[in-house]
Amino acid sequence: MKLLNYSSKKYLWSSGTIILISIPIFYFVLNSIILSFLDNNLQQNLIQLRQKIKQVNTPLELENWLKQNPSVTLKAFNPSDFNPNYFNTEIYNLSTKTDESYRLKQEKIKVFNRDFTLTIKTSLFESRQLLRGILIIQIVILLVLFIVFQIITQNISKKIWKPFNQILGFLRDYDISKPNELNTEIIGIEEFNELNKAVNSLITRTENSYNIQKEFTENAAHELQTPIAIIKSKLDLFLQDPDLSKNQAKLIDQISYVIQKLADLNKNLLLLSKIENQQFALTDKFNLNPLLETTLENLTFFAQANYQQLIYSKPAIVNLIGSKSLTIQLLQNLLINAIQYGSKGTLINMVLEENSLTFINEGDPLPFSQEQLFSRFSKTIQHNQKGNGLGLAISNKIALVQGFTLTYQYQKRKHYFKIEFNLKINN
Amino acid sequence: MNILIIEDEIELGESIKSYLKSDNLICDLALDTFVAKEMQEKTNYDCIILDVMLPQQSGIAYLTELSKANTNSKIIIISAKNSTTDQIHALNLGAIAYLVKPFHLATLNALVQNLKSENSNFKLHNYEINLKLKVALIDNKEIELNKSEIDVLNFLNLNKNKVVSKNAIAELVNQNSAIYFDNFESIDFIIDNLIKKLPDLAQYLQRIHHIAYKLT
Repeated sequence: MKLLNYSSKKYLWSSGTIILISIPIFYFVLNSIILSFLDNNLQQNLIQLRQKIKQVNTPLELENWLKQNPSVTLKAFNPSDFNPNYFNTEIYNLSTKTDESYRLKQEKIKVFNRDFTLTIKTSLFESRQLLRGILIIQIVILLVLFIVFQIITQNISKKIWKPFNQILGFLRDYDISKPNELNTEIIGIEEFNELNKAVNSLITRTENSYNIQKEFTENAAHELQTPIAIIKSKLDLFLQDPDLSKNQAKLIDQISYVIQKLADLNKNLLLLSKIENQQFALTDKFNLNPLLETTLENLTFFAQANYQQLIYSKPAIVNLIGSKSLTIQLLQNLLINAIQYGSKGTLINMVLEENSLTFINEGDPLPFSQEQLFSRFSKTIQHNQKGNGLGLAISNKIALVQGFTLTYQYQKRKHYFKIEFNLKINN
Repeated sequence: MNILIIEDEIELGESIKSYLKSDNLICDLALDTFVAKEMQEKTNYDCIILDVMLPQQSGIAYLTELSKANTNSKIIIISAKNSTTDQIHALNLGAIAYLVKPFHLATLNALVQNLKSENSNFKLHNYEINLKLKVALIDNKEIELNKSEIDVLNFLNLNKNKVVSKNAIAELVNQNSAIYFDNFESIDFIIDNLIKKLPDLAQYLQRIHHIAYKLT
């Protein structure tokens, strides 16, 4: 759940609950205020009534007076009917033919030396109407407040969390291998300003250690090449000795082999680290066809030595944007791999299509997974390993860094290495 | 032909000097560009083999100086730095070649020997070799050679009378691939094909203990 939604939802729930609880409470409070007002009026009226009745001299006069005051009734006192408290009752209205609510108050009164129950009533209709009106207005106001509150909250939250989202976006897009400008925008909220400063300082420290490490890897690789170069040159000189024995030659060959492997390993580790550090510009625009044809021409001898035939079908012309030198390396690696691991005397196919290039060679299935195939040194567990265990890892990295996908499949005794260029083809 | 080697690793410098020295090549070694400048005042060098990572003044800074001074010397850069950018930069500054360390001395020798003739043809015993057309001519008969065969033949010819390891030939033909050649059967295959096509070469091409070749 998004932070903004989370806080809005919390606000929505709490304000909704408060509003729901407040409506009945408000009703009861308002109702009791109105009733107490009515009761007060009834009480006042009763006081006046008592004085009026005291002034009445004859039963006839009383009867006339009662007729003029329909809200007042006078009945002979009956203790079982008498209610000393204020109370509500429904009375049938003959003219409207409906039950109407009234508020009543009774009092025991002595008239002409007889006990009577004096009842005074007041209609609750108007006060009920008033209460309903007030309640409706109240509910509308509350609902409007609720909606406005929600909108304001949403807007304020958006504003409050904007710097947070900015920092988050900056971190999401952050790529250590690319030059980045620090998030320097001055933000009004102190906590976010602090967070921004902390992020910037963390990035500066990380970049420094990354650069130191990168420099170290490169320098270490370069420094290693010099002693290798010296050994290699001394072996070349040794080889010139006219009295070189067969055993010495064998030793030179063995040392050369190891030195060559070491140099290649070093060179390839450096290449891998450079690819990972994105030190190659990926902006060359080039046609793949001539690159593939040159690679093919250069490596034909290697296939011929294995009695293999290279077959190249090119129904498509492929134009790419990326690193030309890395792409050449990718083609060479995959072709050498196909030749090296292809069975002797078989065909090696290269199929160039609009959006892919596939290298196909016959051979025994691999005893390991595709992930292991493309990971560094994983093949060193293989006793028949031919390369230094980095060739396919480099190929995979080259493909990835240029937005290509390199996949491997084994079908009907054939190995398929497919580079998908993931081009958007305009029809 | 006078050659100046500027290399701070004395062992590597001495190896280069010793390998290149022959009847027609005179080599001097300088461990830094200051000594090199003194040597250049005395001798006019046809070729300078220049290392990049040098103490005090870098090879690239010196190359810039030389290129500003419009030197006639051909400059070959030798460096452990193998990035395309570095190579292009050096070539733009006027270097004629950029060789990445570690290299075989035969490769450097081939570059130096190549400076002597700008002709794409050379005579090899009874054969007239045309590098551009990839053909060998004998008695007005054209024999076609493929790219690897012509490359290897040219390489051996530039290293004439030197023992060239199969490893050095593999380095020439393997295109700096990340995948290492597991054996040199393919190199033998190229040589066998060359001898099949140019049988007169057989008597001038020696196999040295199955690890190297020598063209005389």
